[in-house]
Amino acid sequence: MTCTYIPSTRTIAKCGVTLIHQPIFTTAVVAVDVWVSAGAACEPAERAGVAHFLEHMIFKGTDQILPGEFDALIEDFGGSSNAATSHDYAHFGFTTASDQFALPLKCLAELLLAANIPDQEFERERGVVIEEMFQALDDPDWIAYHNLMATAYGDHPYGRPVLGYESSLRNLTAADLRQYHQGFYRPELMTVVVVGNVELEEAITRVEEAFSGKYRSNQAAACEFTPVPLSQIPAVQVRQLYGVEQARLTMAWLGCNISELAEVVELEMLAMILAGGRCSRLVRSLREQKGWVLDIGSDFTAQRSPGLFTVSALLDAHFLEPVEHQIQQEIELLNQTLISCQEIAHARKAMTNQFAFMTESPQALASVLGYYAALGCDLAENWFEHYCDLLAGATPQRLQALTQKYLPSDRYTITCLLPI
Amino acid sequence: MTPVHTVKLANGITVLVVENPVADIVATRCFIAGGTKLETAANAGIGQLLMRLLTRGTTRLDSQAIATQIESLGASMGTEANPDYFGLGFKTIGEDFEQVLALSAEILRSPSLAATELELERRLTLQGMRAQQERPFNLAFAILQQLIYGDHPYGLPSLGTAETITSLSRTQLEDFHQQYFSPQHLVVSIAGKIGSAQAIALVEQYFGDWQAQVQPPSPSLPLPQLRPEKITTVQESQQTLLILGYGAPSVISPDYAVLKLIASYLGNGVSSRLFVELREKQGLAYEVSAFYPTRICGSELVSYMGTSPHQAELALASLQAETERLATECLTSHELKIAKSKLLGQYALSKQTNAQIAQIYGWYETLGLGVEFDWKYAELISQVAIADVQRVAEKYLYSPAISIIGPG
Repeated sequence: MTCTYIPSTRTIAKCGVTLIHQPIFTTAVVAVDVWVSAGAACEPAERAGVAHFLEHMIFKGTDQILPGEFDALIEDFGGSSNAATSHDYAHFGFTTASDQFALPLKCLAELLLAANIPDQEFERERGVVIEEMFQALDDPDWIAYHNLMATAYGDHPYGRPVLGYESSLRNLTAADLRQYHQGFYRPELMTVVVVGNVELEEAITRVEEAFSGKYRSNQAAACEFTPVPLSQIPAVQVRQLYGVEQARLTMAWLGCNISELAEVVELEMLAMILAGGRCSRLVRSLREQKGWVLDIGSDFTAQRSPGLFTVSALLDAHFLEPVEHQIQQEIELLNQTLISCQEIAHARKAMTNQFAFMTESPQALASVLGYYAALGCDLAENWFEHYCDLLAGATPQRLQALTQKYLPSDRYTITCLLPI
Repeated sequence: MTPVHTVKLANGITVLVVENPVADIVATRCFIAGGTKLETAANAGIGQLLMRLLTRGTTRLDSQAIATQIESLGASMGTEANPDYFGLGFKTIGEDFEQVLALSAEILRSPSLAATELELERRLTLQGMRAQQERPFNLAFAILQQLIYGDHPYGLPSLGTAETITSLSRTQLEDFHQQYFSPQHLVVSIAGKIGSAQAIALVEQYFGDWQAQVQPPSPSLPLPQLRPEKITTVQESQQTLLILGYGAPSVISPDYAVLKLIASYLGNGVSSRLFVELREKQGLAYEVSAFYPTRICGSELVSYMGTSPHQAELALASLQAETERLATECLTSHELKIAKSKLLGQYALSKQTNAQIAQIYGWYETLGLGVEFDWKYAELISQVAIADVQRVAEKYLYSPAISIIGPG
């Protein structure tokens, strides 16, 4: 695989934001993604949901901008926009034709730095946010995911749902949101990613003019996020009943945090080898040969605090026990026996290509670059080569050592969602 | 405008190539015209089952051998059964294109449909059908499809029914494959870092000796017959989901572009009418949207929202009123202009990756519209006038079929 990307650039702008610029001169668009390094993990427990609620309220205007005006502007330009909140971040992105990104960028910067969060809009939006949570509660995969996070992380902020709880949402006030906003939506905590047909000089100029002078500095309100330490997850089994037709089983181990990038990539490789395709160990045995699961997958989520390495299956409830046993055995095998060089080579090629496929569109690329930067992990200018180098560094010995460090076959969290 | 190299091979295969040297990626989409509208109530689900079995073995390679080839190259491959076509798509880096194209030819032309694989897929399909029951939207939408399409096969359940899936035999699958998988129905659409001459030569090399079958006459399909009824399904859940469906014309209708514009104005994105009225102004929903699928035999305009059970009645009335409002209330010329730039801008943004490019041209060709529909569509949209919007809204947006699911 040859890399056709021009190196990206990382600049700290005078206005305080970090700019990541990736030129792609063959595209007709520009994708912008603004990442705020503050998500639900920064919330006090009693105000669960405030970070996500704020993401909604950002679009409700400032002294200069009416509610909905930014959305209308983007769509009038034929562009598209999106926003999301997680435990570690909130991000706000849009894509437009390359000669049209300056005005929406200015508008978005204004919204992010000078949001008004008007009381009346806040009350109306509360209904929307509560509907969003009810919709999530009707989704068995969301229930299973939240059940896992709550069990594995307990009192750690990752154990709380990003959407909050009905009770916390009903108690939040517009003042709570304003306080959170002033504390965390500061230029120093923002990473602006600009990908597409635009020169560096222009990107810097546009970002400076968009983000300068709008932030009402209030040092007294400024918050710093202090990560909650975490060294282990409980070795317990939690079963929950729900109106599902198919049971969900998830086994989880605590991995590294995102700053250990080599380990992140290697844990992703272990997930690929375990359940990344029809030839992978668990898919072949549990789905293809035995037919015990409808689906099985494995994943490692890189986060600011240690992330979870998971194996999840969708299955008939009466196969729960043998499937858990088999997964445990495969993990034990990884602890005891070196993976063959050929298996690693396959995984490496698959991951290299997936990374290339994943970053094909400017919007997807902006999202990847922003994710790592917002979580404090520098992918380097030649991020694609850097990623390939890390893949090349994965050897059978290193993967075994990593398994022994993070994936004991006799100690893990297990959660199940079972049909009533 | 992107040049699309188009060639028809002697055996009837249409090859489309868009050269795009930006990244070292080639995306390919193979389309077999027909799709699940060739199914009947007696063999519903046969298309999905067949497509899932294709990558599970050819007369030469078994399932693991196929997967090993694909995965060792780091390629991705998938198959699908759609109402109007069967699809096989793959993505590789440039140098691996030939090997995966060769494999695809083998998969499409000579599947083994081995008994053990059929039994496994049958079991997985039945499980998948139960998993579908967990999703309120899928459940309510399947009911709506029956109300909208009546006896037309568009109304059949896409995975089939427990009865059809249990009873489908290997012979039926073989016959279905033999009948409809034929070079004159195949469009191979390729986009990425490859020369058009080379791509066409390779398709010729691996598909060129596929002989066309004598074709049975296409089945004559009943016209979609919408029943404007309201069906409520009771299920324990937090939200009540409301789905409205209106009868809508096929892609070849002169009203198609106008209704596309209406659907986009109503339900596409955060500045759309339904979103602004029902979510931003009334706070009734988190998700509210509308869509109008592009189909050959007739289609539907669907609007839907999820809301709290206690306000479901109000929400339904608002949703229906907003969806039908354009029949009685004219757009301003400013609103029309904005609706057009939104739709055309997003259409342009939907052609960013090689897979998206290969998909859109191949699909237009398969529908019989030709790749030129890409610019014709843009032209048709830009020509829509205010009076067209009202006339078309009046013609289609009344007496919907309604499917509701929620707590009793």
